[in-house]
Amino acid sequence: MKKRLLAALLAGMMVFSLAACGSKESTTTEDQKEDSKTEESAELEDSLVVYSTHSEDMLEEICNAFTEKTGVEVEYINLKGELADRVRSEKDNPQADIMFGGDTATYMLLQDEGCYEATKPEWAGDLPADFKDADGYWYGTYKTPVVMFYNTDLMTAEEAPKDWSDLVKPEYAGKIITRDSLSSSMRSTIAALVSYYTANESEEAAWEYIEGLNANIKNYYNSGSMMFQAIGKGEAAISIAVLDNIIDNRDNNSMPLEIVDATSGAITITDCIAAIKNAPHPNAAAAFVEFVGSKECEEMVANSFNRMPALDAALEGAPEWMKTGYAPMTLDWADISANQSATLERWETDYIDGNKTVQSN
Amino acid sequence: MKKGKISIFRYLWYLILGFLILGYIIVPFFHTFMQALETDSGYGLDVFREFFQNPNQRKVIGNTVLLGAASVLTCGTIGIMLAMYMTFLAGKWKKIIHILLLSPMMIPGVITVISFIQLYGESGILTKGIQYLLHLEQIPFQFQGFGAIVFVVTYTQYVYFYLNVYVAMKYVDNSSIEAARSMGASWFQIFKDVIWPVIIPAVLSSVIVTFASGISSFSAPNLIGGSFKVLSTQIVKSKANNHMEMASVQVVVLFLISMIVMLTIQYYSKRYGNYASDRSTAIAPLKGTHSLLSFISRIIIFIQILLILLPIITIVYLSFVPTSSIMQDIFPHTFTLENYLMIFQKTRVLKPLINSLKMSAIAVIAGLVITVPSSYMIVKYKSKFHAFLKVLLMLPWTMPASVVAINLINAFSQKSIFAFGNALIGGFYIVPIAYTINSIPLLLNSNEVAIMGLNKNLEEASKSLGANMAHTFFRIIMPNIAPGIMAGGVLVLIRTLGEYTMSALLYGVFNRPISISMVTAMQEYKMGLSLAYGVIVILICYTALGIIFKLDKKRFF
Repeated sequence: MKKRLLAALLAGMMVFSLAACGSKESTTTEDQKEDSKTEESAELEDSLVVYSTHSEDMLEEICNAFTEKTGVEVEYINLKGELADRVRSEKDNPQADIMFGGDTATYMLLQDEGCYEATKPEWAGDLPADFKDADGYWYGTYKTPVVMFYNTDLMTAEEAPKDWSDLVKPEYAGKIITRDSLSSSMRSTIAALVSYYTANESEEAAWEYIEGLNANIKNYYNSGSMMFQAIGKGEAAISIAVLDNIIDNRDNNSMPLEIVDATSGAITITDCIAAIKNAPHPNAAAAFVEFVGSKECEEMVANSFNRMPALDAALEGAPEWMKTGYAPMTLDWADISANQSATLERWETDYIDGNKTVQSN
Repeated sequence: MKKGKISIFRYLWYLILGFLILGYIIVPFFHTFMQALETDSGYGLDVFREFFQNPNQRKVIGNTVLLGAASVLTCGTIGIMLAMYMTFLAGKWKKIIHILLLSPMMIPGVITVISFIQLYGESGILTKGIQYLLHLEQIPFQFQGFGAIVFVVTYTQYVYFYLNVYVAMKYVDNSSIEAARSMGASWFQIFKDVIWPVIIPAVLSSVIVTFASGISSFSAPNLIGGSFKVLSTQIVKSKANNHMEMASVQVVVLFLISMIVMLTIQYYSKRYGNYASDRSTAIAPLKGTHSLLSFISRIIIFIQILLILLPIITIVYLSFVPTSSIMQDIFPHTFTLENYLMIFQKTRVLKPLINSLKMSAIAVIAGLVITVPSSYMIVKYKSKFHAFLKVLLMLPWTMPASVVAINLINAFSQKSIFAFGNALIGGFYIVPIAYTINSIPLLLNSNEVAIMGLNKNLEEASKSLGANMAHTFFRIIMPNIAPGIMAGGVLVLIRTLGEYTMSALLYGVFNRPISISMVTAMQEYKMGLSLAYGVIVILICYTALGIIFKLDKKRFF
């Protein structure tokens, strides 16, 4: 009986391996077809795997457009905050070809660990130096402004904060909610604000600011949905989020939200893309990087998903507000990247932990 | 089979089992352990020292143990009380109440916490409802921190206590109770002297599961913990800060805590034998007597059922509400089918459901293939070797789900001989493997209960007629224990279908499970879609539960 079971198991395994062979065979024929169609010197593989932080809808639109253009089928998953960890843990045995989304600091870190393969897209020369790695290991795709916003049912434009420095004013005590330290946009925001106030005032002033901010914050949210819901239901008036999330909730969920164009600027994170080293489909990966950063794709994403293109040329066909609004804060991203771990750890242990304990117990 | 002669099947079985335990439980854990010992200069206890010297970290350990202990206390009290009620007092509504009492198990953890926030949060339906009804100036309570976590953990975990004790109550001899009562013993005395000795093994094994679930619960402390920090959330934070050594140390500490508790309980439970007598007469529900006690119990049970049902009603209700209303209205009252339509419109949205069903089914089958022969041997041969085998197979219970996942990542991100030279991370099978590992103790438990109820004479008869062990096992034993075993399998199916913690760390392009879709939808501000997914999972689980009841009447009714 056990033999029969074993036999069944073996048979099952064989079916799987046969299926695997089958798909490989079709790979080669597809590849030949592809080869004659595209002018690229390298043969494109017939499939591509993308690990991303971007939304399902946005990935679907980009990947479908890419498939239409190249014939390469794209599989994608949306790993959100787990993305960097996942790419790192699969380093010895990469399953994905593309890492898509996440800030510059993360990409610099993984590049140091040798996770990426350099690519040379045509538009690389047009991209400002801040938005790319000098050796082509990663490229910026979108400028992602983190901005303040408020519920217009609870606050008028006069009452609302005009700048980041206003957030520590006593009148906003208990009226601000933000994401917690696991949110990557919040991590960038804190690191950027500390760096900004350290550069413009002093390190002491920067931490004084963080202390004041923490004192005014009513709650830290682990989930973006719960945070926006709290704003929507009037638990607090002011919050901080990535611009496109605010637009998403304002337009799709008809929430009464107004965005603050801060006087010192928006904390603009660069969302990046990179081809993963030793990936199963290197040629398709290079083609995908080329496609995502191109004027065509950047314009499409700008119009459908309110993502500001990193490539200036793509602003041409982008929505009007992207050309004028939400000027970036002047920030030294290399400094932020270098100090990020230390800053965030200090914020987490000395500020959030300590003060929150007093507040809620 | 004659004594002393080891059959080839058994020998082969031990070999396979040893290979699996070594490869999928011990070696992966060893990887994590070594990582915890890594320092700048070779290996040492530096990171451990750093961990234990930090007063914040010590507080986190204290919090974790406190949460485990509190969960055991609340789940134990509620679970045992409900089991008593169902045994002694429940009347004609018994079946329905029983199904309702098992419901919390079926709601995916993430959805449970979300629905609790919708009910009891600052703008929660219940919170605001009470405030308006009583004209309070402020909301009546703060749903955050330790109390809130214990509330959620109790809600999701009392089921094991309830189910185990409820089953054990079937082995309490009614005639002893009657005798004690006729001698004028109080109910408290009867509970202490007649019932307690019989249900102790069930209570102890429930303590292990509940403690382990309590200290490893993630969703609740993550979403509503506030300043109350526990190890499971700190592990994720350490990973986010890229402090892998610290994460590994925290994993090892968490493991040690549950290991100490489990071994202590195993040690004490040796004193107690198996269920008292096989020939006990079933306890008939009491009628008419103790009207005051019965009345109070009925009120308590009514409140409990209400508390159990509220989150489910909330999920179903909100799944028909457009997200814009969920996000803004205190009492949402516009309705739509859009959330459900979204699920069935796109294949990409439907696929995760199929993936989850497939992976849970694989976990159930693999789990049964591993545990059924093992349980049989553990029950049959009461040797030290088999006791040790049991401890090894129970190891996953001492590991929170996140630890199982992290161990697997550490062990299988490179090519491994235990996966026949493959690297499993990123592939399809890693998720069902994790589900299987996590389910083995539960299956072992349910199998044992089923096998212990087997009539020994049948087996003897088969052997005396000349059948060999394999023949006896498959032809005689299997058909008799099948219902109980299948029921365990369905329980695992229910548990793994909405599993999030391990899935989030291990899933890939080809096996995106439904729990991930649920959370992704939540993250992308489509709460309605997320809740609609939740309702579908709950419906599948109720169907599966219906199957259990058909299969295993003895254990469940």
